Amino acid sequence: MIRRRALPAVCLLLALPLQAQAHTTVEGLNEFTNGLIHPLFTPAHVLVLLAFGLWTSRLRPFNPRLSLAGFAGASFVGLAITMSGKGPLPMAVPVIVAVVAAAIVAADLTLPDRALLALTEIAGLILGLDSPADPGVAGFTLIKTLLGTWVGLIICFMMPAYYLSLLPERKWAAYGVRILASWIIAIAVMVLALSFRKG
Amino acid sequence: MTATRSHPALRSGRAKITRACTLIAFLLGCGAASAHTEAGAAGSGFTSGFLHPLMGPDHIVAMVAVGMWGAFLGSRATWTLPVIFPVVMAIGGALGVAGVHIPAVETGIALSAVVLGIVVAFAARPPLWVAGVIVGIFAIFHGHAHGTELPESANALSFAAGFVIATGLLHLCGIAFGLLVKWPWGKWAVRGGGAVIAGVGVCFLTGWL
Repeated sequence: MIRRRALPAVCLLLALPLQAQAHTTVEGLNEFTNGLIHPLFTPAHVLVLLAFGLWTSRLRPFNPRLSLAGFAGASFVGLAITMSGKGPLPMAVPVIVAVVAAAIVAADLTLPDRALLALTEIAGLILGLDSPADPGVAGFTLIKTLLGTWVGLIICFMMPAYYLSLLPERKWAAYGVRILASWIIAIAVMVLALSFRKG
Repeated sequence: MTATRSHPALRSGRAKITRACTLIAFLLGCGAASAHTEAGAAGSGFTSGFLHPLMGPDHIVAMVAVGMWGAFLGSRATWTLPVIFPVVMAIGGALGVAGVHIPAVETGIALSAVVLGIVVAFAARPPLWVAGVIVGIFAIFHGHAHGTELPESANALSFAAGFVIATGLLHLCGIAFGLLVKWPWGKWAVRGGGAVIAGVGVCFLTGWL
C-alpha cells in the first residue's frame, strides 16, 4: 500500500526537469584527485553533506561511527552501480534528501539511531549513484576516479561533522547549527522552485 | 628592575588593544578583492543572488529588524526567528517563482518594516509563537518579491545560496545590534533603531522613498 502511494512521488521526482551533474574534470589533476574533489564541485552534494554533517555533529555523545559506516558502505554500493552505466540522478533527489536531514536539525528532533543509519545510507547511495565518471572512462582509470570520489565523499561527510562537534556546549552553538540547517532548507526549496520554472 | 615590568593584566589589555588596532587597520586598509573570477556551477549566480536582498533597502531594514526583535525577545527567540524566516521566505519565493499571485506584495514588505520597527521601538514581547507567525507572514511577502524578480539565467543552486546567505547575514547584523539590550543605554539604542526602521517603513509605504 505504501509502495503504491509512493509510486507517483517517485515518478514525479524522476520526471523533474532538473539538470544532472556528472564529474567536473579539472585539467592537470589525475583521475583519483579529480574524483576526490568531485563532491565539492557539485553544489547539491555539498548541501547533502553539510546537512548530514550538521546532524551528525549534534549527536550526544558525539559518535559518528554508525552514520559514517552506513554512509561509506552505501556510497560505495552507489558508485559501484554507476560502473554499469547507471546515473546520474535528477538534481531534485539529493536536494530533497538534504531538506529532510536539514529539517530534522532545524526542528531539533532527536531520532533513534536506526533512523539516522537509514537516512545516511539513503544519502550515501544517492550521492554514489549521482557521481558517475564521465562517459568513455573505463578500466583502471574508472576505478581510480570512483575510488577518489568515494574517499572524497567520506572526507566531505566527516569534516563538517567533526569540526562542528568541536563547538562548545552552548546555546548559541546549538542555535547556530539550527540556523545553518534552515539556510540549507531555504536554499533547497528555492532550487526546487527554480528548477520547476526552468523546466 | 621590577618597576619597569608592567602588570600581567595591563600587558593583556595592551595586547588586546594592539590586536584590535591591527584588525581595524586591516579592515580599513583592504581594497577590492580581485582574485577569483566566477566560473563553474558553484560560482555563477552566487554574486547575483547574494546582492539581490542587499539591493532593496526595504528588504534590508526588515531583515535587520527581525534580528533586532529576536534579540529583544530573549535568548530563545534570538535564534528561533532567524530559523523561521529563511524557510518561510523560501516558500514565498517558491510561490513567486511558480507564478502564484499574492496581492499587495510591495505594501506588505513596506508594512513589515513599519510593524517590525514598531514592535522593536515599543519593546513588545508577545509569546514566541505570535512573533513567529508575524515574522512568517512578512517572510512570505519578501520571498515572493524575490521569487518573481529572479533572473531567468541564474544558476538555481548558487543563486539561492547567495540569496539565503545574504538574508541570514542581515539577520545576524540585526542580532548583533539587538544584543546591545544587555546594557541600559543599549536598550534605548535598539529601541531608537526600531523607531528609525518604522519611520523608513512609513516612507516606503507612502512612496517617499
